[in-house]
Amino acid sequence: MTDTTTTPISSSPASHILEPKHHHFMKQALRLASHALHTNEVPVACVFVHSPTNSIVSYGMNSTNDSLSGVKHAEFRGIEEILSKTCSLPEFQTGGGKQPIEIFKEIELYVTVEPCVMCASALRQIGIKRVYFGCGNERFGGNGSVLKINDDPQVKDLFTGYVSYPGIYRKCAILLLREFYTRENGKAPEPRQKKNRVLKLDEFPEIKWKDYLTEEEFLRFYGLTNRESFQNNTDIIVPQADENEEADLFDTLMADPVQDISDIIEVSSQPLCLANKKQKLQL
Amino acid sequence: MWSTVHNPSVPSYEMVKKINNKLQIDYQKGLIESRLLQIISTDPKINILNLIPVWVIEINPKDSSKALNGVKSVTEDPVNLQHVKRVKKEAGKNTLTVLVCSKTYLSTEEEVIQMLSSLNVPDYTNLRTVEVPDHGPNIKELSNQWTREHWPLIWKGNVNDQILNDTVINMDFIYSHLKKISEKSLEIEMETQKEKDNTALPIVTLIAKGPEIVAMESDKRSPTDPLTHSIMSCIDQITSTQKLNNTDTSHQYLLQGYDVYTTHEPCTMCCMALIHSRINRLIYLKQSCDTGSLRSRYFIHDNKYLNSKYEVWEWVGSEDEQISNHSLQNNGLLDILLPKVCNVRLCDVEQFGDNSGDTTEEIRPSCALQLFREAMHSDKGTGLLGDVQWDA
Repeated sequence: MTDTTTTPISSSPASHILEPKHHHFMKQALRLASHALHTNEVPVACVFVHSPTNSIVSYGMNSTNDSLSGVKHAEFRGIEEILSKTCSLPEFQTGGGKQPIEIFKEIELYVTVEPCVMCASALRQIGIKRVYFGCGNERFGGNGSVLKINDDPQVKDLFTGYVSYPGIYRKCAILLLREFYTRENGKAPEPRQKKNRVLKLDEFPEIKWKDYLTEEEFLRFYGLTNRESFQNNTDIIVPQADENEEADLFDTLMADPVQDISDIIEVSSQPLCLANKKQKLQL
Repeated sequence: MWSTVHNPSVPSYEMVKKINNKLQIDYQKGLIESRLLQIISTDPKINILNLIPVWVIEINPKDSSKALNGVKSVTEDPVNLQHVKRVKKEAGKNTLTVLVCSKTYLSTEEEVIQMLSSLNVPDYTNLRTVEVPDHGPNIKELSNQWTREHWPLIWKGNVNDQILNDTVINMDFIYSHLKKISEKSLEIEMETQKEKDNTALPIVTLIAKGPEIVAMESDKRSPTDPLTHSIMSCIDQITSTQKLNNTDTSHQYLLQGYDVYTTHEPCTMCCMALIHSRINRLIYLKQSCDTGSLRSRYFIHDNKYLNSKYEVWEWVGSEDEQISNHSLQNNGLLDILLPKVCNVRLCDVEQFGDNSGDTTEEIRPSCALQLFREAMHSDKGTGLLGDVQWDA
């Protein structure tokens, strides 16, 4: 399937990835993941964004350890919150509101790690608009790493599927996971000094873009300037971004003993506001 | 040890030790007690012969160990040759034929001569290429046939035969669990027929530890609850109970040792949720062609790229009207049995010494269906198929 981002590639040298919202929302997801890490959960987290209004409508963090359930992945908490908020809208209760499937088609997901096969199927069954993720998941990723559940025409679901764009703050997502696994092994090293922490490119696995996107889908979103990344399986380059931005972000996330996420909880606890008017993101 | 003289007598069927195993197992169909059909992902080409060229030499038998040590020290060959024997004794010859390496690895005679001299392989004659199978089949009779017709293969037994033989099945409580979900499913169906507004799907799941039922849920999905499938509800119910009874936060949240009984082949989400939960076994009654993700596509329970696996069986028993109605409405049953039927044919061909049939040729469905019916009718009244109507 093709994405609804319809501008012809040739006439759009400026790529969608340059829109600041993508990095902004992924940063919020990373803060939640860092919070999960500090509460001994696998650091995977997400925010659901209502795209016409650019507002976070729900969030999720992995809670498999706390719930003693292997299926309590971040995406499920977020989906459940949207469902319950939909049902508590006054217009819904009087029978006139939008059904959840109409709401989900306006919602985009930012998740730090590729949705697993289970979550990929769940997201497709609810009819999500689009997914952005940080790093892939070689063990059970469902958007291309192991299976490509998000848009496989083999499955005859209600929806034909969604496109997902990987690679946003990918290294940061990987570092959070590494941090968790070194801690769990009981071999956690002493925290390193900030100035010693360098994100070296060769310390990260390559990103196999072709597992997730066709070349056309890639170019439409990441722009022609990133064509080499697609061919060489390397990270995309975002021109305005400071070279050390990602390393600094990771250090900031690690610096707080428990990441304060009250602002995200506050925002997403608001009732759904499905204004038709498009709103620009206030950063 | 490397005696390769082939005994061209009538092939004997592989005998699997059945000590303490009172189950009736059909190893070729993957069928236990004529009721449970094993669902596994098999390479569809496993029993299709594909030949590749390799270099061989002829040597004096007294030089065999030297020659073998030489050729076996070659580790850079990109073609896996572990399924073939290295030495062949040909009738009427007093020499041994030794396999050197694949032609993919060394393409010219000069390269092979050079390598053989560097490996100190003693005098040899008749350097040439021959064709050998590029992999071994999973049927012993076929392995023998390829050995006879092409090159000696190493038969290590069909791994799945051992898996089937080791499967522990207690038909009493399996049947009782399935009957329970089937009855509940029928009940839901009757209710939805009575009330127009009732759109409940007649899907029911039960999770048990042996005979003990720990959860049973029906499908509760609705437009406002699209993901509340019966399997997800069962997992939630069990894990929340476990959390209540267990203050220890060690890794005990998994459903290890639990078996899942469900009326329909589950969707991708539910199949993967069961991987995350580390269940032991799943038995379902009816295939779901559009969304099922075990037998219909993906084989999520048996995918080597995913991080874990579980057993899956489809109930094909027919002694109970209610349960059999569920599983046998399903014409798709043929899809999975067809390849197995084709295997039956391959064996038959060899057993009766009839080499007129080309075993690699694709067998037409109609022919396979006929064979399938014959095979079933000769099943001595176990009634696998009962009175199924086959809508071709």
